[in-house]
Amino acid sequence: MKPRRDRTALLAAPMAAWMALFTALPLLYILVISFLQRDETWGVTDILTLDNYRRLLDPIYIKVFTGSIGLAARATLLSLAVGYPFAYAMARAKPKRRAALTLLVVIPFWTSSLMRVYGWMILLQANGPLNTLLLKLGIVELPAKLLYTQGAALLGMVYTLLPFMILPCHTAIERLDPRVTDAARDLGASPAKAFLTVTLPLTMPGIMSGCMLVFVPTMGLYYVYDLLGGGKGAILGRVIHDQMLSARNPPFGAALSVALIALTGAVVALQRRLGGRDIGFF
Amino acid sequence: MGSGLLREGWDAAIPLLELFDIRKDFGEGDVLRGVSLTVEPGEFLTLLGPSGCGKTTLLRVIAGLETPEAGRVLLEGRDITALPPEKRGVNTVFQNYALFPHMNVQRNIAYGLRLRGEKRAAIREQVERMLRLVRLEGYGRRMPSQLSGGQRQRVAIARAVALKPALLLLDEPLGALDLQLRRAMQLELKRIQKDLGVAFVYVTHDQEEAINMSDRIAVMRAGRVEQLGTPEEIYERPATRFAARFIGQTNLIPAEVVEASGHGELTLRAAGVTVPACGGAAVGDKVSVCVRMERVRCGAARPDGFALRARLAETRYAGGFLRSTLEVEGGLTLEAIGQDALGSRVGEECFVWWDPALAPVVPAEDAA
Ligand SMILES: Nc1ncnc2c1ncn2[C@@H]1O[C@H](COP(=O)(O)OP(=O)(O)OP(=O)(O)O)[C@@H](O)[C@H]1O
Ligand SMILES: [Mg+2]
Repeated sequence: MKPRRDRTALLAAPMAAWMALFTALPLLYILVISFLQRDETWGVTDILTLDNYRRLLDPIYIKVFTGSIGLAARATLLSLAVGYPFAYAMARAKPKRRAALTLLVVIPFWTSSLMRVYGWMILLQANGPLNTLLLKLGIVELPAKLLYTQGAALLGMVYTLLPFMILPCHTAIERLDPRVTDAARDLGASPAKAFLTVTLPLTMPGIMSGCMLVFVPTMGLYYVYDLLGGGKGAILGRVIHDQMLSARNPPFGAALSVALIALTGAVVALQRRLGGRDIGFF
Repeated sequence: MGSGLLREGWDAAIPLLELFDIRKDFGEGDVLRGVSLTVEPGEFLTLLGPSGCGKTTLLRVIAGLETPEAGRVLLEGRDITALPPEKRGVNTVFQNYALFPHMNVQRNIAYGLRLRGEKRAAIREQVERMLRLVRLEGYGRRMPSQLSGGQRQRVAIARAVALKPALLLLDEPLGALDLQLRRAMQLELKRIQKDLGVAFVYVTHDQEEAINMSDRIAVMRAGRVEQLGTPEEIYERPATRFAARFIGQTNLIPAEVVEASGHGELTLRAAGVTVPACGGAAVGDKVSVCVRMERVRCGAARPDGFALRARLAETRYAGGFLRSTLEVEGGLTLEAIGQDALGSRVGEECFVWWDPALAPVVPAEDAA
């Protein structure tokens, strides 16, 4: 049996090589330069230091972190609130309607997400269609400031990442035998109770994957944040970008990246722990 | 309503469950086409019928998991057609068990009791009693995925019985069990039903199980109840060819009534021979004579009265009894079963006859 196992391992070799070359090595590179001192003009020196990490504790950057986490958390919860019911309707719909709903989720992938964000900008601008409508309906008297607000930024994030919430939730709900919920109702559970004690715990792995797939990328989607939020406040992806390219401080950018990766790792670990567990009866 | 056990001040004349002209359609043809039946308190009613005839759907309508397009469901005289399942006090043993995969056996059984808000100690005691009842002591902490099909089925039974409903719906609850355990569980279920005074609506494919356990059987076909009666009634007086064939093993001889006495004695013309039978039919009616295989008599000597000439074509062993094929004069073929070999040897001429009073007629064509 042993030779056979060795041959299966061969199948994974190209991918492993790819990952090593283009993921592990760059990460290692980032990790290394995050401990180096910045060169005054460009690049790095060969002096080892912990200054980059110390600088992370500067209140400005703490604020960047908490702000980014806050935004990601809000985007995640909002996506869940919108995405889960949608995924539920999709999973329980008759085949024809399900196909239509699935299409709705997939269509956005057919165009670049940058194009779609520009679309939102047009929609939300001061003399855009939405404001025109609000004025016509007499809901506002002057054009409302919709674009370049925190709300618009949040909307953009949720809009961009919603499919990543819907798809894993849909998979989990679809896999759930509806007769198990029927059994709960049959044994005396109200619809809400049946949802809380049966549907929710049994679809928790899907919810957890969805939350992770929304939470993590939110930190890096700075172009959405810039274009719709007007670049006010700073999110982590933006700050890393600036440090690497404009501020010419790769070591500090690298330290921020390492911190982001650590944060992401923590979220994944949390998801692993919660997702696989029976979350209790009531 | 809680448990649905409204026993006090209960008018004995009111049936426990009444169904009036239930219709259900999932959008691709009728599944239930006007089902009416009643279940008395403490009664054991079996739904018997081929796969896809609507048995599960009917149970789901009774449980409140499916809303019928037309018809009414009455429980203890109260219209519950629009009541959600959790308010009906009717519990179900699902065909595919539908256990909660994220809860162990104890929690599965305790689910309904906890929802009712019973005391912890009482719940624990009831769970233990149920585990003993279905012979799964010591399995309380197992997860459903760690159980065999038959064990899961027994957990499903325990979970529904634990609530002591006035009406329990069981959808092929013993389908996954081996013969020995099946027999034992049949006795247990029957005992539970008697002891607790629970009425059962029970679905099975096993006609022997249906005959042994039921007070009454509803023979279903294509979304309708074809016949409703005691096992004996259905056996002795089948209403249709379908009902005759579904319970017991039977010969159905196409015939036309030539003489009717008015006391239910009939004389019929079938494939060139004249045969007697019983039942309500008028001269000229096209019918089928239903002769149970074990009631076909055969012998070398001509008896007094009715008999037909025949030839014993084949005899084969059929597990505990012998099954014979007889070629009868006029081109009829009859099947007979019995403990012993018929009086004749294969290939020999003989006579066949039957007791006309035990050979009812049914309409020749079953309604669509
Ligand atoms: N949710 C549904 N949607 C569409 N058709 C359904 C649905 N449920 C049942 N049916 C159809 O209704 C008919 C009756 O189904 P049902 O499950 O009641 O049969 P059954 O008598 O219980 O059969 P079995 O003995 O195989 O369990 C079948 O033709 C089935 O395809
Ligand atoms: Mg069924």
